[in-house]
Amino acid sequence: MGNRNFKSALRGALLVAVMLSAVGCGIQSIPMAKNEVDATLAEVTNQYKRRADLIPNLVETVKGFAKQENSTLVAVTEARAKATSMNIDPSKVTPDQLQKFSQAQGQLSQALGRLLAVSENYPDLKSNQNFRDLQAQLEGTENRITVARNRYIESIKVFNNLVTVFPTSLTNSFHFKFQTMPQFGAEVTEEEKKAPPVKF
Amino acid sequence: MSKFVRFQKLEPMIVIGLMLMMVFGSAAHADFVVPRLTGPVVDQANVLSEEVEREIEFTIRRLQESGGPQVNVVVVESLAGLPIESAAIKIADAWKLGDQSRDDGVILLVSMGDRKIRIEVGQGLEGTLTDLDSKRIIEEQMTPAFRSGQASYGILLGSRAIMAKIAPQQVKAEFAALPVRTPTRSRELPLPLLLVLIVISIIGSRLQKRGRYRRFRGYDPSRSAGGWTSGGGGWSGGSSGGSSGGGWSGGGGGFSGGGASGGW
Repeated sequence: MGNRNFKSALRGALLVAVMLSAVGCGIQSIPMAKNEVDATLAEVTNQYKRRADLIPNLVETVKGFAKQENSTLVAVTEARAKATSMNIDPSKVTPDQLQKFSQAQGQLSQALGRLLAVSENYPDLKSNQNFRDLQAQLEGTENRITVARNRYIESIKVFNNLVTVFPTSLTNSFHFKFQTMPQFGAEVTEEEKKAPPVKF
Repeated sequence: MSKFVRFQKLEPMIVIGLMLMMVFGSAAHADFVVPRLTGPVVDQANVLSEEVEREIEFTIRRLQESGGPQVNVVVVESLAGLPIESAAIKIADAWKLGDQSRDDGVILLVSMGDRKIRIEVGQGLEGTLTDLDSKRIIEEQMTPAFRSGQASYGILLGSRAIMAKIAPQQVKAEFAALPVRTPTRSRELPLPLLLVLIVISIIGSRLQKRGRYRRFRGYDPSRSAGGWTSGGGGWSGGSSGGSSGGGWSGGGGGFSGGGASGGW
């Protein structure tokens, strides 16, 4: 009777010891970091979608005041169509898909930047309440995109460190066999990095 | 006499130091240091009048005690070259205002030196206090006051408008009943005088490690971490300062960059 008690206690202690050592070796932290990468990427795509949702309204408003800027407006609409046609599944995305996605969003950012730049030439448009509201929403969304991208980049860094740095790298090479992830954001244009300018 | 001798010895060093600071400018103060969360109102630039600070602090505490969101006002001297959006999210990530499950924190950040304002809204409040609401609060309530040199009043109006948006119904009525304050004379110093004071305070703190210039320590980013807990200057009159019984800390709320920015 006493012997059995001792054995189960020993087994329990062993289990605890194994679990404790597992906590530090990456068996937990590597999948958690992977989940974090997926979640932060999902946030990035969400915020880009949010931006895309604002664009048709913006284009319509600008059109009402600046019909002659047709080519700029068409460029925005086309860039938006291209960017929204790319749906990425955060958990299964390939580096190639990611890069294309980022490029398409970067092109949309540039087209949008041009649209906002030309709208500076139309005082009526600039003072239009609807346009100003849209601009405020767009600024907010651009900032969310920046924050989401930074968090995604940070989570990739954490993941890559776990996968490549001892001792968690051992667990990865024996068990998970994850590849390091390419860092996001190399193709980001300088304009995209900067927060949208606030004008008064 | 001995002080004077010491000063003479130090003088070349100070001059060289100042020149280096000019040459490297932002490099010397490159990093924006997130202020310590000492209370609902963190006024490093010392622009809020005592009564305004008291009112804001009272309403913020009342709002949170009633189960509402957690608001914080931060006034800094400078952002050390950082865009205000980046500074705001840094503060938000460090302080984690708001409840962990509701993510209902709000930061009203003002940088006097950069003439910039930002309202940073926690994830859970993005529907109640939209980017548009924040933008309008900044443009319609705050910037007119700042432009006429009433920084303290502008911050009061801004924080009132924020709280009017996000307060639960019963607290809203309570806040609406608060007496309407007209702008009081601002304690804001003209910029040249301010710069002179900063230089004096830097020299002063070299000369006298502790003592009567303590009040200005906050301007020196490398010292600010310790300076504000002991230096009473910024918190004088605050009936419930950071170290008193009513502790103030974030509840783990998340931010994702919502809100709006502006300037004057």
